Amino acid sequence: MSRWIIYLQWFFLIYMLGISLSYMLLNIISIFSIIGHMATRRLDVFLDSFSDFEPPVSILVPAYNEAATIESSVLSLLQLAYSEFEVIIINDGSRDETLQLLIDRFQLVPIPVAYQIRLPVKPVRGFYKSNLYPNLRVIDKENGGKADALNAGINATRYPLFCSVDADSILQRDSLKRVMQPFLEDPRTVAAGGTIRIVNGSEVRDGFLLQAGLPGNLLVRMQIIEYLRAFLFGRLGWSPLNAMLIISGAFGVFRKEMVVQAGGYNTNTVGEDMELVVRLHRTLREQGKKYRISFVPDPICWTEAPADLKSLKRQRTRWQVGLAESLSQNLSLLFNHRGGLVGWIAFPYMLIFELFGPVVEVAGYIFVVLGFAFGIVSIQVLAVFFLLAIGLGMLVSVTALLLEQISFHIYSSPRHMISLFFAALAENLGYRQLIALWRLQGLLKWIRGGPPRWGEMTRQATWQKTD
Amino acid sequence: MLKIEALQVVVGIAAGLAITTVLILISLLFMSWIQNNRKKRQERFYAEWEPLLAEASLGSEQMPPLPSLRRRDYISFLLVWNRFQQNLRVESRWGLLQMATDLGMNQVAARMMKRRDETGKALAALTLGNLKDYTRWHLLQTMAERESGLCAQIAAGALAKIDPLRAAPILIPLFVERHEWPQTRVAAILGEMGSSIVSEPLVDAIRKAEEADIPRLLRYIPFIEPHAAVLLVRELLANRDNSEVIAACLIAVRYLEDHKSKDVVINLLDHPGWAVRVQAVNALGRLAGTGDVDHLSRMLSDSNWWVRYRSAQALVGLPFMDPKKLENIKEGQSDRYARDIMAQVIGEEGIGDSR
Repeated sequence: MSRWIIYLQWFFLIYMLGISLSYMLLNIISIFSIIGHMATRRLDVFLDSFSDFEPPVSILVPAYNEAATIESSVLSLLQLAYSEFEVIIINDGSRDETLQLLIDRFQLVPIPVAYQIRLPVKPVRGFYKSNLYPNLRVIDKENGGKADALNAGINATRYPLFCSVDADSILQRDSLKRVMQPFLEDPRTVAAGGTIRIVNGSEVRDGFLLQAGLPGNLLVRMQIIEYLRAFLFGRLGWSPLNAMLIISGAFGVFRKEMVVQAGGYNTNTVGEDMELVVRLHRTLREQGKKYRISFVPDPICWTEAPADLKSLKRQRTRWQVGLAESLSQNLSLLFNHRGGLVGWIAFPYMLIFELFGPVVEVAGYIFVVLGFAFGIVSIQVLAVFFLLAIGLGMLVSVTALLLEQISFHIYSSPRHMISLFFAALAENLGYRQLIALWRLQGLLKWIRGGPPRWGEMTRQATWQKTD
Repeated sequence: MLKIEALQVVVGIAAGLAITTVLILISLLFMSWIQNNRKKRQERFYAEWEPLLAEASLGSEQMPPLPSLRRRDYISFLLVWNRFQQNLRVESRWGLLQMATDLGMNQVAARMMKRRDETGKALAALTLGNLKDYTRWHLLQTMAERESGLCAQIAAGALAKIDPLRAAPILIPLFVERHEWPQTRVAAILGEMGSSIVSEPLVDAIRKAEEADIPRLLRYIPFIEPHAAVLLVRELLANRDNSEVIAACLIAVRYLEDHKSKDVVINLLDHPGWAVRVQAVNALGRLAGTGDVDHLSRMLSDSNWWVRYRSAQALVGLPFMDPKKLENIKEGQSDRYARDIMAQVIGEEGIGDSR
């Protein structure tokens, strides 16, 4: 019995060490990538480019009950700095006045469309074009979820590339130009995404970010740290290895033909954005095709983070279900002989540290705390476990801040930095453990099964201003 | 229980972590302080130099004496000087060139070219290009040919600025080889050199290029003089049977509006590849006369949606079409798909009531 307890102690300690060291390794790769990227970025303005040669893009915006923000979202999309694009709003059976608002504001008129059904979708009720903006179209369809709406949009696109955008995403004028850069530089690129930042506390006008800021809410500040970690090295670390498994659904560009060949968005998952990227990796690797899935570290899209525990819990359990579905539905990529770094490193990493991480983390906390209470775990082991779990966690979080300071230094004032530093420390003292518990619940929910459900988030949008 | 020695090691690591975390906080604050100071210093620098650069660009003969430029401000100066260069018309640049020469920026940029850091080298190449410094030609040529990525692209642009005639035979083979150079940037360099210079070597390069490269290179047709471009495209259409090359040629035919290729285009409406048929329809849409409406009408029944859609767009876009004729074409179609696609495009273009 005592031998098993020792094994268990070592298992939890080594796991904690392993997860933190892997973060550190990704961090080192990211530092090199970001330094190179920032050097190039400084000279970007001097590189003449001929905008006629930019490939045209279809922007797809699935909208479900978005009456509050849809007008400013569409207006901001129509003002993006890019040579040729169309905006397609897919009203996914909204129960509010989303469609009527669009009809009134953009002078939509119905048009007959010989709809090309390359991806099966829920019935389409009608198509509209705008009399004000020739590059704006609206599809009205029966409710089928975000993935179904995106598939309906893909069927209607006119251009070879499409960009999926959440209706509540806040962009910058050059967002599309920046995320398109990998497609210009490497014709093998099939998908590209960028950094998503948290908009709470920032100033936004008419759908565009004016000034980044910090929110007063500690819960949101801790999420800012999480986002920095997730994007600045979670993705930037994997991107040079062409092993990035997620492109956020809030803003990502895809090569349409590749997506259609892979079967479009999966309607049986709540993590349709990640599932599509994993499936693209799997199918392209199985076919032996050369491709790239790239990441642009520039902050190109801003999104509202949940400011209350209830919404945050829903979001995180949903993300975990999405992760489980994405990995389980593409399991053949794991250790596939054609899998490359994705199949042999990124996929197992996601499986061990991201999918089952909450199980080990929560079990570890319970084991050492209860073990100490019942006298089977020594005070030293308890101390070491917490030092590893919390100490390394803090180090990883503050390193993400360092990376932010090296690169974009959006939160540049010392006051912001100190505030975020303490949020990075505080994040490891309760918040991270709570998130692990919710993620575990998500995992259990996935094991129990059931239809995919999104749930709803209470949006505050206090940062939103309109003229 | 764990051995005490092992515990000591892990506790040591944990203590190390705590110290590292504190060190990171200190470096964060230090970096924030440095960056804010640097920003303030740059603002002061620009406030001092931008009016001088503006005056120099106006060609003022009574320039005030220039303040001394410290070594640490070289990069800031070159950044702002190059920005002025990019934004000014050619005739306004003389004063700026004189200013940079007086400040010894040629030598500074030449020294920077030998440094290891990519940004410094790229900025130096950009400066030498804007200075039209002939004496550093070989340095720039080597950079364009041997470096990768940004440095090579900027060096290529610099060569094109210094002497486009001499640069064309060096750069055009590079444009063929360097698949990773964004077409938007290559096009900008070709535009800078001008079609009278690039036409001949570009046509030559396309003729000799591997079949897989031709479609990419044919996108640069707008930079070839029209007569040479037309001859090249006709030659390719006559001699190549690769679908991607033919489709690229048809895009070029459309751009060049080469009416003499119309018969070839009409023949290609029956090509087995839908990607070729789409481009043939697009090209015919630009070339068609009243006698070609039937060719486009029959393509409304093509098996491929895109061919049908582009045919309908081509018909709607014909200059001699009116709503009544379009409605007649739509109603005259026995195929439902053909009628539907015509109705869609008529609706999209807002012509009449197609419902």
